[in-house]
Amino acid sequence: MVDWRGIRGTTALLRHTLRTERVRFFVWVLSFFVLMSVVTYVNGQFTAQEMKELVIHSTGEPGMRMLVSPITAEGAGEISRFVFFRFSFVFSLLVVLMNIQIANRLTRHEEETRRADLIATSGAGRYARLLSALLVLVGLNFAVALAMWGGLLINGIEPFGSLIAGLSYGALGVVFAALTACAAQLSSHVSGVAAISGFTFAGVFLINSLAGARGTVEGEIVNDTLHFQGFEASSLAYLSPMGWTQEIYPFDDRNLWIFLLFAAAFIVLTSAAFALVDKRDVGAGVLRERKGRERSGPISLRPLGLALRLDRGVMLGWLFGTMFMAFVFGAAVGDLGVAFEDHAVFGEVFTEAAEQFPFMLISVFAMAVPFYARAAVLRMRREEATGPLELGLSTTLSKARWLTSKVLMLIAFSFLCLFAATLSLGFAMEASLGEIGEFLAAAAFQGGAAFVLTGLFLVFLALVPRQTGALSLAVIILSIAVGSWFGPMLDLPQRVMDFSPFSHVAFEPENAEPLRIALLYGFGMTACAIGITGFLRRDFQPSR
Amino acid sequence: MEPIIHAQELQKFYGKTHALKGLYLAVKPGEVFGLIGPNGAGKTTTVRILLGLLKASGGTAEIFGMDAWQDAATIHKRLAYVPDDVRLWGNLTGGEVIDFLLNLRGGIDEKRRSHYIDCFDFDPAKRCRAYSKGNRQKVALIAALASKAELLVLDEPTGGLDPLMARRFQETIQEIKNEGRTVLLSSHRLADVERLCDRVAIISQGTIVESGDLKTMRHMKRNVIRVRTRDPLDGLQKLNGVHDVIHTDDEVSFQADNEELEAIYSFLAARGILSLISSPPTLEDLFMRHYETRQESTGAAEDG
Repeated sequence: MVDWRGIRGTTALLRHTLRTERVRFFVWVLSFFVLMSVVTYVNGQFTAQEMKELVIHSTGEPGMRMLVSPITAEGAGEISRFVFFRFSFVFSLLVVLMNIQIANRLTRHEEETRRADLIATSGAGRYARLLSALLVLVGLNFAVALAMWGGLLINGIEPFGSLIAGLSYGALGVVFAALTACAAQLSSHVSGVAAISGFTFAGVFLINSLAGARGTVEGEIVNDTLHFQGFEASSLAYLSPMGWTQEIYPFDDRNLWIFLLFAAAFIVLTSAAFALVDKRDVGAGVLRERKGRERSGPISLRPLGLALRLDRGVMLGWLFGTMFMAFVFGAAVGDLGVAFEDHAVFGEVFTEAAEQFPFMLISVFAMAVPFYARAAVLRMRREEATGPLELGLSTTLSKARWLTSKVLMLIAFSFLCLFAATLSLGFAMEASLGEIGEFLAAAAFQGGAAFVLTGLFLVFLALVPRQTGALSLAVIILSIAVGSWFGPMLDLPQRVMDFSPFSHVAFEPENAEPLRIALLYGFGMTACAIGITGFLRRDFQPSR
Repeated sequence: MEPIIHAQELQKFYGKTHALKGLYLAVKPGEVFGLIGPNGAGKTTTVRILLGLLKASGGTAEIFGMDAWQDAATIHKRLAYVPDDVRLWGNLTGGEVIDFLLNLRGGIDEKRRSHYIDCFDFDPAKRCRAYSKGNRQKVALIAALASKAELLVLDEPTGGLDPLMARRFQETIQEIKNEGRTVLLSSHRLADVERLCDRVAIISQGTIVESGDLKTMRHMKRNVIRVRTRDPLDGLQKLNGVHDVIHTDDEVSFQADNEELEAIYSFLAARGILSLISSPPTLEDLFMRHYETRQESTGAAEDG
């Protein structure tokens, strides 16, 4: 028999969450609406012929297929399909990140801050918190789906297909909300939950990329004209929820049965989460916290050693994560061959694209660096705001020593990651030494753009510490959105693109202007210097 | 003797909020000095300025004769601090944190380390995120007590400790004092302060409103009198120097200014004293008096 007392208080909790989180939710939903409508509007400026050509260019090379979504022959010249062909992975990434972050916040974060104890002792049932969190998340994903629908509708896209398209991302989001809810039962810490969900997503992303790379592109050449006949992902796509979203084809086949896959995954994960609630105490995770060592090792007795030790997990995760991704991309570039290679006219186009592709990947690695830098700067801020920095600074550890060791570690590690990923890409491609040299030069140049952002984050930490998180995120998103990847895709004027440091570095080192690179590094150093002196001069600012 | 901690005309603004308004503080070597005051009075701000975490907006703050902000790292070789809300590195164990802090404070003395770990009955193998508030406090306390620091700055160090551990804490402060070390203790546990401190300063609204040797402070101002008389005590509150008159069933209690005692006693004697107890005020009485004046003045400000 079901004991309904377990869910008592769910509606009250639901209302409470909607109230406390309303701004956050509103911003997310609005962002999806704006993103969808702007991206659709801007891409709608292309003619059908231009869209077709872009589709052909970006599907010929297997490595490039990893970042686009399947598309049918008829769809190649249609804005509705074209938008999802190009931006599906961006939408998926954002939806999943939103769900991991908010689900973690509503479940494990509540428990870790002991707020859940108050709720658990206020007459709410054992399952009420989880149930209300999941209901809120389902509602939020539905709102996001409708926002995306709205963004398509105002661009005059076919209503039913648009609705299905929106819902397919909402469904992806709901699955990751349930997955994170499950992870929140297992690990007793926010960071553990983020790691479980994050790694799962990385796996899902990878499988989907492989499905794209191993997919098939059909074309027929009649009278020296290439007739594109569609790009399909390999059946690997069915192993990845991201692939499910792309296999729905909302404007063509409308494989609505795929929503059953989402539903099944959601039900399985949710049931697991509810079952795990019974297996643990409020505040604890299923995975037990092991006892640690009673004495400190010699390395972590020193501040720099301790800093390394504390960030060890995150750093190793980033290093091996980026190296692994780079290796997979590199292997796809090298092994799987180029479609239409034999054809005289297009063969040339594709060889050119294939030559540029590794450099574009290196710029992607460089764009990942600011995400690490932001996280590291935010960890520093957390150490100050709610962490042990106060105690640390009361010892002989000076502010200057703490800050410089953190900043040096951050900058050194950023470049280490970038070069390691680049080398990994080169080895996977079986590139020659000369090519690898060129790759490394490209990484050093692109790294300059990332370095500028790192400097800016330090300035935020020094001058507006409480706003560091929001400001640095805005800066990253803007620099990537108007940068060398999406700027041209969105057809932005050069003046706007120039705001992004990434726009000042050409993909290939031979096209880069040394003066601009030097200026980027100079700007980055100045920003770091301002950040460091600003921090040393200002008061210690805890969040109380 | 040169004071170990010396703050003069200390000012601190947070934006427009005037948190410290010309605070004066002098702590002598070898003494246990208590800093008490209501929430938001400026205790933690004072302590953080002394530690060089905050920069004073005006005045001087010196420890060991050095500037608290400029020479923070040098000063910190000789002091140990326990914050009022101890936050630690969640993924390190208590033992590792103690080692780290002790090492930064001039090296690990194995004997003292294990002495204080035993004394506080502490399990150093657990990760810091799993510790309760009291256990996190123990980490900071052990790392401070077991160090060789000449000066201990303790901000509300017993808030999370159980009564047994709070007693241990009192004993250890006695040991520290016998070793000739100096302690600045900020606390709400007035009983602790009363028992441990040689001198006390009461801080309110950003200034020291009263300070000195606890004995003189207690006898200087007022006495608390509880009296039973044959005849009713009508008109008592109209006398000069009588405060806070409370009538209970068969007894009247009030506070009397020392300089008016003679007149007050003759007034009582004329009404036939059956019993009379006169005692110096406790620290709590002194404290409450400042606290209440503060409330009245803020209340008046709001009314106006």
